[in-house]
Amino acid sequence: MFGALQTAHSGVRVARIWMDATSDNIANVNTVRSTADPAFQARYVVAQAIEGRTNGVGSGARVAAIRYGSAEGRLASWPDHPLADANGLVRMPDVDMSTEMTNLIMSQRSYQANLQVVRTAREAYQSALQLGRK
Amino acid sequence: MPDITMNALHSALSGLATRQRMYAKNIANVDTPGYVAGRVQFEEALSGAIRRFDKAGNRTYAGPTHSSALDRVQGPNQRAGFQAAVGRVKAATTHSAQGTRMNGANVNLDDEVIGQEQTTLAYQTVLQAMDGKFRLLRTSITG
Repeated sequence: MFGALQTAHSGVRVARIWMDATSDNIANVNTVRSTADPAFQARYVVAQAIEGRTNGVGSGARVAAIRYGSAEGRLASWPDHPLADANGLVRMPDVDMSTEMTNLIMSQRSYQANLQVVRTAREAYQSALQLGRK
Repeated sequence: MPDITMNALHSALSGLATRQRMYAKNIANVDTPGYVAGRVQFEEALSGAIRRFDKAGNRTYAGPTHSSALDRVQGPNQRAGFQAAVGRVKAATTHSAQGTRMNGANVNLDDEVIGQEQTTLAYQTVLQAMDGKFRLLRTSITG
């Protein structure tokens, strides 16, 4: 019952996880590691369509996997950092701030769009319910 | 007076009300450390109860033939028992399988609010079905 609501709900969930991942990436943009350790790896959400419903219509999206960014990161010279190695190098994450900000806006819009579908679907179902009232 | 439809609708309404209360509780505890969101299930138990009732109605007696008179007595009684059971389906509470945050809580406000919307719609639908039942009854009384 209420298929459109469930579909929109799945979209909200994907957008929320996408926002969570993006905010985590942005939060760790300055996370410094020693060169002996892997860099902080950015998280990218892989969304997948949920197939297999009647009428040939799918039933939303889900997070199929989380992909990781480069563990290599990039080396930066920071000699007085406590984690710096003998050559004065530290490992910085390879997070592209402009990509993350774009993702943040897209995930926010996706979240809002799916919530709008929830609102519209609710109104549609409610008017169907009104039919039965006298 | 109460028939199987009324009983089923009654169980559905009380199950949905329990679910709505659970959503409210989850939202109230959205920032409570260690709080795991609760989920309410009753649909399977309800459809199981209705299935048992249906089976009891169509059941043919498999025992010795001489006790068929006894079965005729037992049959409707059992059926009434199954019918009453349809009206007394208890909602079961489970926990959300979502991952927890750093404070051990896992309530997602959007899940709860959308769940509330869905439950409200389902509640209205069931209520409308019940209203139809009562309207029928009223018509048969007043003519």
